[in-house]
Amino acid sequence: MSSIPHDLVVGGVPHGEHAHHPKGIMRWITTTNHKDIGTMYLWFSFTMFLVGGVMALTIRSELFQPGLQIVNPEFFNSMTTLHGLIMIFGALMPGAVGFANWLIPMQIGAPDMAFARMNNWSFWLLPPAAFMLLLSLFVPGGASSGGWTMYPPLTIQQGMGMDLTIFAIHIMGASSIMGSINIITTILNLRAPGMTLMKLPLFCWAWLITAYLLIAVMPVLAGAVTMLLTDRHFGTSFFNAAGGGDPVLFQHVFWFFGHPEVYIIILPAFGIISEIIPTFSRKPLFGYASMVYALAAIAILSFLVWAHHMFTTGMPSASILFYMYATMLIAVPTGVKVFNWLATMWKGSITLEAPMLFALGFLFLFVIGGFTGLILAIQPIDVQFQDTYYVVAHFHYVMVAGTLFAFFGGTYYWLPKWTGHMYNEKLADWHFWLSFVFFNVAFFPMHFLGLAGMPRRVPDYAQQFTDWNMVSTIGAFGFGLSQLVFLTAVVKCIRGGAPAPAKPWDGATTLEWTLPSPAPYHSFETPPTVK
Amino acid sequence: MANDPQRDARLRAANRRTGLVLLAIALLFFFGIIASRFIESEAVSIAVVGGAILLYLVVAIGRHLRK
Repeated sequence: MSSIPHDLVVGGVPHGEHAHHPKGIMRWITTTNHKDIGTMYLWFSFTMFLVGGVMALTIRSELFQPGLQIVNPEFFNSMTTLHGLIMIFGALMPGAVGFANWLIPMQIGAPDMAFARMNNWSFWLLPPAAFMLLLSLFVPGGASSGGWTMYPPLTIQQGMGMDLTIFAIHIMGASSIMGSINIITTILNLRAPGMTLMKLPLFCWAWLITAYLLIAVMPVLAGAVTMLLTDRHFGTSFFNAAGGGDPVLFQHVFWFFGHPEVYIIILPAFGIISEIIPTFSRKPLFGYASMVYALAAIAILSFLVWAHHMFTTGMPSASILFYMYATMLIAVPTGVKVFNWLATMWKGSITLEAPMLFALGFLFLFVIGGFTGLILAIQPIDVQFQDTYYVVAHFHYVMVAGTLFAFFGGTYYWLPKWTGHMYNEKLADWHFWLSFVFFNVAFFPMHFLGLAGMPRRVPDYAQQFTDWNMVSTIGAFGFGLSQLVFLTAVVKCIRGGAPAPAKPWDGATTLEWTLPSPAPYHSFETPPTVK
Repeated sequence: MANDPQRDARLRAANRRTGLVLLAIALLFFFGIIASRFIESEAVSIAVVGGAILLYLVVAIGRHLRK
């Protein structure tokens, strides 16, 4: 059972509003309240999304036409590097943690996160790290330009910008690990009486597994960049071929982190979608247990496939076959999830409010991203597509249409609970359709460009790629501007709007909907009992 | 539910225990990935780290699936 019917919940009604907290800026700096911290994570994520978005538009502006028009090649490469790092570590991961902070305590009937002070610290590590990343643009030698993957030997030779990038990753990694420890401890120890693990909302399950993944892989990334740092400054040769090190080893270690990272980003999105679809289909989630097993299977398989990112580095045939088939195997639990979402909708009383629109958009586009991933899993094909725009198209269908669409859907879904107001449905619908159309205008042509052989991370290109690049750039600007509609919808909802009832969605069944809207500053001081 | 200092203390201790175990695992992987670079054979070093992480995941996630 994925959710708890209201009539089975006893107690848990908060003791009114006990908002004895500092006012003004000190409230936000010193807060240990999970809702405040969740809000800060979400705004930080959105700010970084805009910063990374401006970098994306710089890239797309340069690529509007062949030749070099706007930026020099070094700066272009810095833009692609920072765009990737900021979107992954600054926008998508903190966004997911924002949802976790807001929702996990309310969904499990806990008053707050297990380590409230550490929660504050986890967040406040992020702005200095982001500042360091951006500061690297202004130091001698410029920002890191070796791609978000930071492959040596290029990154061993770069200037001070690379050191700032390494420190920023260390800090963001520490923040992620602290956040994960907090989430696991909260879910395991602070669940309301009666809420067994197999009664957890799917969002909490998704985050529990994500947090375990984070604890496994963030230290690996931290170790890898630490070795990079010592290679740069302390005379070691872990990856420095000149001293007997092996640069390909870095790729192995990086992707040992990097591939599970993809699932770290997408699993919370799966959790959000698994909340939205049953609500707007007015049916319980189909196959709850199989959804949990599929999440676990995806997480474990994600550690067995990293070398599919390195098919062109040369490896024994047996390894190629293993990584190829293991990668394809991930399609099975992912397919189970897609099947269950479709089965949940089957014969449901579906309504198409904005959260459901984004969930359907997610489903449609994520499946496209998944299928292109399957194509890339086939080594003979991957060898042709390696480092082309086909790969860029593939991972943007997963990361943007997957995770970001789920975040948008989740935001509209829980905005009434967060703000106490209903959002403007018309604006939200416009936001969805503009995003959906412009996303495809921006990224679908990249498949054609990749198939035709256009390489990524290059600021100039041959004449024959011009048309689709122009289309893609127009789509990118359209997609970027569409997000202003989102900002408007959210700000309008915060400032006012129709009052939201405790449970604005008929089909919603999880514990947070038993609280009034907006959720009181302190909720579930008395744990509810789940029968 | 009335405030129960003993229950609260037990809960705090349990939280600390869980947090410290997870922190220890994270530190182990951090130092482990660096230490594994000193193993002569790359295949063995990757197998050791990979095996340890897989074992951790299977145990950590698997034990909850049975509940």
